[in-house]
Amino acid sequence: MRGIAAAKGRRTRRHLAGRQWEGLIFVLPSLTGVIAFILVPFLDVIRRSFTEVMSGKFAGLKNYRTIFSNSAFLQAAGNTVRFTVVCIPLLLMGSLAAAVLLQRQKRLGSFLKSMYLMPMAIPVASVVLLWKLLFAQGGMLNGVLSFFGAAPVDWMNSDCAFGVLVFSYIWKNLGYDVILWLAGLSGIPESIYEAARVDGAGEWRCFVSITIPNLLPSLYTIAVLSFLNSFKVFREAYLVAGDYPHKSIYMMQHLFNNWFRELSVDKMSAGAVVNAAVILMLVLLLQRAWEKE
Amino acid sequence: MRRNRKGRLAAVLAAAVLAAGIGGCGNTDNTQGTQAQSISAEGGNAMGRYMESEIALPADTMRICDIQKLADGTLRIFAGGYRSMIWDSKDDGATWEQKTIVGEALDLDKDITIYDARISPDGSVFAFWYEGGSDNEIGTLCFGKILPDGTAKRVTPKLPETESSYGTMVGQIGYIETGKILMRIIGMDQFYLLDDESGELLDTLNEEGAYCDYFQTGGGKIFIFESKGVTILDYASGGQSEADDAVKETLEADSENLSLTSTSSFPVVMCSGNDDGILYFADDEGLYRYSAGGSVVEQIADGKLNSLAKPSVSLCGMSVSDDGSILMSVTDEESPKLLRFVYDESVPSVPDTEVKVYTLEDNVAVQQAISMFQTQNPKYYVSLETGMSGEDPVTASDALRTLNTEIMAGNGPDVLILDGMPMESYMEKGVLKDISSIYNEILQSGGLQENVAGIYQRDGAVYGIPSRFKVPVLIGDAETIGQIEDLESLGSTAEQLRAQDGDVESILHVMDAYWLQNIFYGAYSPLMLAKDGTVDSQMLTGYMTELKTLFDLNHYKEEEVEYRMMTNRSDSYDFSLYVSTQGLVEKTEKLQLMDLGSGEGLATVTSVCGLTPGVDYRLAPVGEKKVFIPSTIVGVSAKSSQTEGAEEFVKFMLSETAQSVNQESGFPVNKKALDTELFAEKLAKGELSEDERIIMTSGSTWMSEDGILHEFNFDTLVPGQEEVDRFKKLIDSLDTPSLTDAVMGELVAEQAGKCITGEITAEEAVSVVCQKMNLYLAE
Repeated sequence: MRGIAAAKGRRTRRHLAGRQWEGLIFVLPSLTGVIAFILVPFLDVIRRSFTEVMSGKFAGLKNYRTIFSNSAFLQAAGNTVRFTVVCIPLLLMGSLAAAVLLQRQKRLGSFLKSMYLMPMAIPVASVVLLWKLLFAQGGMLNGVLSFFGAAPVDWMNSDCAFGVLVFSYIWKNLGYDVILWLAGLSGIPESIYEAARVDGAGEWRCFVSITIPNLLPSLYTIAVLSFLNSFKVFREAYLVAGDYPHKSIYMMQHLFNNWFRELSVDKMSAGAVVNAAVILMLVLLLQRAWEKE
Repeated sequence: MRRNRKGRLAAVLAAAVLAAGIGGCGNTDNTQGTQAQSISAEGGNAMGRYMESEIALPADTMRICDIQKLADGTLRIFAGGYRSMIWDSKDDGATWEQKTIVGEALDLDKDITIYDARISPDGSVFAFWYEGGSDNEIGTLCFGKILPDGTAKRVTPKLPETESSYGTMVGQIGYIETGKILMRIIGMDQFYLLDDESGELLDTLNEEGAYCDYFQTGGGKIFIFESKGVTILDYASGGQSEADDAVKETLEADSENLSLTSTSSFPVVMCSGNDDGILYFADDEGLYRYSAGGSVVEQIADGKLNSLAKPSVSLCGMSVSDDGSILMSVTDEESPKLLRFVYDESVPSVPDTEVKVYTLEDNVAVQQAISMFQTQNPKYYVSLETGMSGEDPVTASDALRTLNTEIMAGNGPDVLILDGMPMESYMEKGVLKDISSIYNEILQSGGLQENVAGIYQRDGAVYGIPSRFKVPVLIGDAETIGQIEDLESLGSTAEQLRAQDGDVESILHVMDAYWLQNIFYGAYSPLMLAKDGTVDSQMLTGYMTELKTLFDLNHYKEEEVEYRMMTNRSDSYDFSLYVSTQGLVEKTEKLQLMDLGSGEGLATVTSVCGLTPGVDYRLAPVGEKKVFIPSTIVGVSAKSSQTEGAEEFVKFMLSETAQSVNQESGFPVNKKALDTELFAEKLAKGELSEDERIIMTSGSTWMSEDGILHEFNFDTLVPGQEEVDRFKKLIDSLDTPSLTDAVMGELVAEQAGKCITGEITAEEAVSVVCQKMNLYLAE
């Protein structure tokens, strides 16, 4: 019996190993692209982070020391962290609440879903135009404020700029996250809720004890996607305010963009390596937390 | 088992797709590689190019109206001006023989000037002029013909009556064949074809009434140019030609070909070839050959490889010799020149060595230098890339990023025109090559204006040399401007002047908000950075406040307000060089801050001072600093693959030859060229007559609201030796370059514009600029 079981086990392992190789062949085309266009160039970035720009001479940790003593880098890094810390929880909670409410909407559900997705369908150029119309000093928002007797606010050249950017990011990405949450919600069997209700659980209890635990596997994916999407907000900020926006919305991408204009490839490479390391660490932490769950 | 087989099949298919993809890619690459090699092998050895040479003109030739190579090989020119003459050369311009003094041959009064003339293929000349004119009437239009043997006769053409109160005015004439002259009358759409001897009206062309800016003839066709396009008439049939789309498209491809910008030259010139139906034409992009009805226009010479692309060159006429060489009459810096293009089979069609020059913005001085350099150095092909063409919304930052990508990829330019570029960053990173050898060589051989040219020296190395510079000066009452020390006192003085005279239109000359900020930035930008490298917010507050004050002190007419409030413009003309002669002379303006960038500019300022008692000029009052604006800063890329060619070109740009041509790009740093610019030749003659002193005469007439006609005439005179010496001393005292970084300039300009026009307060403007500039400086 033991012999048969052992033989079966070996066969299963061989079978699994074979299937893994088959899977590898399937991912090979995209993996080749990732290696050619991301990993290999990134290795070059790592190399450049230890060298001088034009001569290519080895510079040790000089570039890393330079960026950590550079106030623009610290400002941009601080803003990026602040933006992420403020936006990601807001977006995750807001989209989850919207998804739960939408799931219960039988009649208007599909219409509201489309409405939530509308901002994603609007081209960035149009969004930027909208921003300019809304938030310019002589713009629509100040027009409305002045109607109520309030003083006009220079939205994009004051601390309000950060709030505008956060609002824009959430407005644009809420629909996407709602859809992801809805996918997660649809995977929770209705029978669990019914059983809980029979046992006397209320809506809140059901949400806390059934919905949240069952959505945890989705949380990792949604959090990582939202985190990565948060970097795209630079497009809007750049198109509205150019290379030098208000300091509260001066992000890492602004800095990299400007460093490239100045041919500061050495600093840019060091900054990119640090940035990538931080992102990788965060993603791994999230993955670990998810695996524990 | 079935699932497993399916899996294997899928895996094999996936692998096959991947292999096919990779294999396919490799295959395509190989094919392209082979093709590229064969093209390179074929194109690399192409030989033959039209080479340019200059033919010396007879002495004192002021203008060439027409040239013609006659059947017997004689080269005939009609030299216009105060004394029009016909000259012949039997040896292709080596010597000239005076054939006819036109005025004498036609028995004209000495004060009559021949307006224009054309030479017929048989050598006869048809000319026109006006007699008995007055201020309000141009006079009677007269025509004459000088026959090949030199005898002359008057011709009375039968032209229709014109309704113009000035009388009949000829727009242009041109031979279409021997004996037949085509004429365009101003105010009439039709062309009149006349017998050049009897004046008989042979035909009326352009019955459709196509508007004409100018016309050219050649290859049996008449080409009518106007801003909307080109109309081609076949003068054999009299109707529009439908079969010449190729030449039409070529001519219309460059919008600059379509409209006249001068009364003595044309954007396009044409002539017939030696065979029937062959047309030769030229524009600033090159020489072309076209066979009537053909589908292709052949560019036989690239304008970039000869003088045709020189911004200072304008085309006047052309003719083709029996041997196929092409003669062209042009004006270069307002002097006539005769050029010959001869095909040389032994020269490569495209020079072997390419030197790439990069400039952020269009730069006429560089274009001029490239053209001159290539004419003198046929082995080099100098290509010019302009980062911001002005035709697309590319910003300075966008252009710099693209440039940096090229530099990092090893495909960057060899020569950099560093205006607007991050100079300090480039020097620090080793982007620029040390060109101290060139600097020292020119310094020792002829001399450079060292206090200007040497500003980019670091530890004995020279990374860039400003080839030109401008000097910001303040013009106004001598006593008043003498008391002004800085921007603050300029503002308070302006306020005092306004308090003393509430009626005067302008205290300080202001073109508009854009130019006000632009001119002041040139003079005051060095003060914007504190010693620690951060922004001096106190100074910046003063800058914004004073600009606003100066702008608001003027009384703008209601219809002018919108224009004056403009904060962004894309003028091709540099208004910082403009002298408000009328405002200063008539004292409707009390002060003007402007940039001096040419001898003519200095002459205008000294003429204003000479004409207006008490008015004088001084360097812009910037405290202890004596500020200048470096421009056309040349540098060589450390990664240049053509270092020798690049250095040759930079050396040429700083040479007396290249620097002596000034198209309002600034004073040259080459001392000999600077002397030439500051009238050394004229002043060396000693005492100049009144006529000799006049450089330019300008004037304007306008009617005031009360219906009175006003007139203002102004003569720009050569300054005296003392005035030139005084200005040279001012140049020698210059010690502070203005900031040339485009990013900083844009950051200040944006907010300054808003502040001047009252959109934001000075404090708000300063807050935004400080925040942004400090980020920029911290990067």
